[in-house]
Amino acid sequence: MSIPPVTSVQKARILADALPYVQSFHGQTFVIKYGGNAMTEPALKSSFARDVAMLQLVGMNPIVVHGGGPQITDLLEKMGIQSTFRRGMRVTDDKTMNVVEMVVGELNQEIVGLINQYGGKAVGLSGQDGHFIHAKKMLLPPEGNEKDGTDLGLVGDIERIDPELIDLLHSRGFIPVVMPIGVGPEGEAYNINADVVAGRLAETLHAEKLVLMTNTPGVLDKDGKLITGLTADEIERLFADGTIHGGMLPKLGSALDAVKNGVKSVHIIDGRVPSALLLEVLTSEGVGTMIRSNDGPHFLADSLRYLGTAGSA
Amino acid sequence: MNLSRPQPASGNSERNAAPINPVSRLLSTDDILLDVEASTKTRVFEEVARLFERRHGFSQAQIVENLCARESVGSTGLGQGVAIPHARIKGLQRAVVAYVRTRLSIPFDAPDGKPVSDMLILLVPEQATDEHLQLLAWSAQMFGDRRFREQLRMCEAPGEVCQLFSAWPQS
Repeated sequence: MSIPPVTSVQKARILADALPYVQSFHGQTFVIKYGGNAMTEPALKSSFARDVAMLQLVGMNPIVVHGGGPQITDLLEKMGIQSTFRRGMRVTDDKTMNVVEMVVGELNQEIVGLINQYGGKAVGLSGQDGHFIHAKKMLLPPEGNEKDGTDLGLVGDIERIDPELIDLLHSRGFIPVVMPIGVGPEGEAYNINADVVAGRLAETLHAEKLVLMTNTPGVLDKDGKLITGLTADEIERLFADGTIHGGMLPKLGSALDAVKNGVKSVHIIDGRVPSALLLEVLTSEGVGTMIRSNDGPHFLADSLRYLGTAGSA
Repeated sequence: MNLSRPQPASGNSERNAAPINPVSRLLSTDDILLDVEASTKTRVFEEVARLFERRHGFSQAQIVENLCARESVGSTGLGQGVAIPHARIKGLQRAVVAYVRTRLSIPFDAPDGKPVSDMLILLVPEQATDEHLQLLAWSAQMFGDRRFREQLRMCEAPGEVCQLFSAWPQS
């Protein structure tokens, strides 16, 4: 994509135009689930790190949550570790867990390093730090004539998140970068889905926005057209009529939980767009699908209510 | 009635022509304010009420009060930096509109939390009819169109704004 040259006057104008957005979101918490191409392509990685640093430096409180991406499977293969699958999901045994921790730990430090290069103060965290993500073993509910749920080894569910550590870091201008590892009652580490960690963190922190970075333009309708806005009820309808399927299901599940539990809005954005995060937060046009609860203003319904029954004449 | 799907305006003289946008029929270059210096919703409403008073002779205070009353039902911000404030006005015979763009975006409690810079303001008679609901529905559809919003922001003079409104929907 070629970008036309910008004059100094235009640059000043662009900066001035961002001011109302900076004011609106000053001091607000944004949980950003980082993933997809934005986490693997060098140019996108750098621009993401710069955008996160920028949001913090203008007064917002970003938190980055990331998983391991395709690197986990790659390393397991390279090391010749055979995986067992149950119901299509990989069982995380001790050896696999070591690989998971190795990969996400390394990625974590890389993200922290990049953000710091751009002047942010990023701090890498796992749920074990300060014991802030309490987890328990996840069992898939029994199917058919199974008696017990399916055991996936060290795959965990979140029991509870303790916000104190994150609050402390934010109060001093640090940017938490969180890997999705939780701790069980016996001190054992669990591997948790990063979308779920991001969603629960956003709920616990009463975040203004939860941003999920994906490799899609957003939520698409049956004709493949982008849906720019959805309410919780509308998502339930899309679930029911089968419009939503595949990898979008768990993402929208997290989004739905988040908006039902006090997160103002969830944004599913296209991480392949350079500076997607800045575009989403600091300009009028977003770059994906915005999801919000059923509460809050609804233009046409409110207008009908305001104009009263006179309109049905 | 279904508010989400505007019906073509009746009385369309040309056969098979695109439906005439009823909002554009009400909007003249004198109803457009660009680069307004205002930092709050109320300030913008005062500015536009002054325009309405000058153009149509209604009480400025009543307009501001009624626009604010509608906002208290729920913000008329649609997201993406646009809003459609509207109000019923006692004694008004026919609907009137104005388009206002502020120099900087202003806080509006919009669903996406983003400030607003582009507003279409509609005043309708106290007894609102289907026709007035259609105006709102058309306005919401127009402002919901990303291409329209982007072109609107590029307009530098009231004449261009009027042209853009009358060209919508583009075939």
